Amino acid sequence: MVNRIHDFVGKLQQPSVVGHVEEALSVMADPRASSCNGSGPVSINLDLTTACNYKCDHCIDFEILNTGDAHGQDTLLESLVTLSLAGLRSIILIGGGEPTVYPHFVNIVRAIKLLNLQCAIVSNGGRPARLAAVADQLTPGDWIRLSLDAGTEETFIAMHRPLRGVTLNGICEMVAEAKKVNPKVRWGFSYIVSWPGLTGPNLVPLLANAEEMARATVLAKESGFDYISFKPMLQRDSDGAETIRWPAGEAGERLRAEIDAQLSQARACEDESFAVLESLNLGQAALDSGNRLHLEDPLRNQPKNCYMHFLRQVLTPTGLYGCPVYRGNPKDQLGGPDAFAGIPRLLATLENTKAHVQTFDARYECRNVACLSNAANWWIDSLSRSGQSPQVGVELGDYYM
Amino acid sequence: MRLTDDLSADLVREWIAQYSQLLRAAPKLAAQLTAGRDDFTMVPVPRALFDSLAAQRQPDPTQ
Repeated sequence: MVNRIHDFVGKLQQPSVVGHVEEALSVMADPRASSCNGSGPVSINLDLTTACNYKCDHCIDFEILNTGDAHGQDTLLESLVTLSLAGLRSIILIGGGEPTVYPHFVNIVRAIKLLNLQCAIVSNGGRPARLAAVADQLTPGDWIRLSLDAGTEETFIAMHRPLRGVTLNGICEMVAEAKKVNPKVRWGFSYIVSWPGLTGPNLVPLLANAEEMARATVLAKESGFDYISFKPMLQRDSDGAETIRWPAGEAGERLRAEIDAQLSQARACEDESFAVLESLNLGQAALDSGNRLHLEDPLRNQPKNCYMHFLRQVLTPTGLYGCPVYRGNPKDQLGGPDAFAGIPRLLATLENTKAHVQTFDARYECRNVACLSNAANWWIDSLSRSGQSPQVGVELGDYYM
Repeated sequence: MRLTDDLSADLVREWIAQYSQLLRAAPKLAAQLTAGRDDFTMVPVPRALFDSLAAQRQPDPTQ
C-alpha cells in the first residue's frame, strides 16, 4: 500500500494541481510547441546552502557539501516570486547542506509563508534556535522533519559527529517546547536504517542501527513528535544514482527479520497522535533479498520519459536539477541556480526542461533507482499513450512531492 | 530585488513586476484575463501577502 506522503498520483489529481499534468502532457505531445504556458513545477526541493554543521558517516551528499556555494538572498526571493506566479504550491527546504546554517534562513521561511506556499523543513536539528524562530510562522500542512537516525546518544553522536554540545536528547527537548508554541506544525523523527556491510563515502564501515528502531520510536513519541519514519540507507552507484545495497542471501533474510521485529514493536506505540511510517523503498529493498532481478522490481522499472521533471524540481546553489536522486549531477541539470530568477529565465528553463525530458531516458538512467515517483510517471505515461485527460480527484491540501 | 526590513512590501513590488512580465510573455494567460469586459482585472496576489499588507496599514488604535 502506498504511504499517503508518497501518493504522488493522488496529489497530482487534486483539482488545483491537475492542470500542471495536462500541461506536461500537452508539451510532450507536440515537441515543436512552445512551453510558454507559464506553468512551472508544483513543488520544489530547495537547498539553501551546501554548508553543513555535521560530519555524518553516511552522508550521500558528501561530495557536494561545504563547497562554499549558497544562494544570494535577493536572487532567491526573486525566484520564489516567479515560481509562485508559475503555480508553485510547496517548498521543501532540504539539502545537500543544512538549511538552518544558511544566514538568511529565517527570512526565506517568512517569504515562503507570505507567498502562501506550503513549507516543509528537513533539518539535522543541530541549530534548534533557528527552528524555534520559524516555528510560529508555519501553518497547518507545514512540517519539520529532523534526521536523527538513532535511539541512543552514543549512536547519534557516532553517526552524525555533530558540533560539540549538540545531543539527541537536547534536540528532542527543543521539539517538545516548540510543539507547545505552535502545535499546528507536524514534527517528524526521521530514521535511516543502516545494517552491517555498508560503507560510507570514505569507504569507512557504517554503524548499524537497525536494532535501535523501536527505542527511537519510544523517544520520538515521548518527545512530542507526530511520527517516526523509517527508510533504508541509500548509497550512490557508479552512475551517481541513489541505490539500496541490501545484503544477499541469509544475511538479507536475518536483516528482514530484525527490521520486521523492530517495526512490530514500534507500531505498538501508534495511536491517534503518533504514527510509524515505513518508506515505500524500505519494503522494496527487502524484496531484493529474494534474489529478484532488479528489472523485475516495480520501482526500478521506469517509463522512458520522466514526467515528474515538469512537476517537481530541485533548486540548489549549484543549479537546478530534475530529481533529488541526481542532486548535483550534471546529467540531470536543467539550469543554473538562478534558473527561476525572473520571468525570462523561467520561460527559458521551461524550454530546457522540455528538451531534457525528451532526451533523458529514465528506463536506462534510472534502472537501478527504487523510484518513489515510479507510479506517477507510469500513470502520466499511460495518459500520454491513450490520449486521455487525467482523472480529477479530491483536494487533499498536500502539495509536497 | 533589494531586501529591506519590510519584506512583504518588497515581495508585493516584486510580485507585480514579475506578473506584468509573465502576462507579456504568456499570451494565452493574458488572453484569458482580458476575455471579460470588466473595467477591473483581478490580480492573484497571495492571500498571506495581502493580509500582511492590510495588517501593516491598520491605523494604530492608540493614536
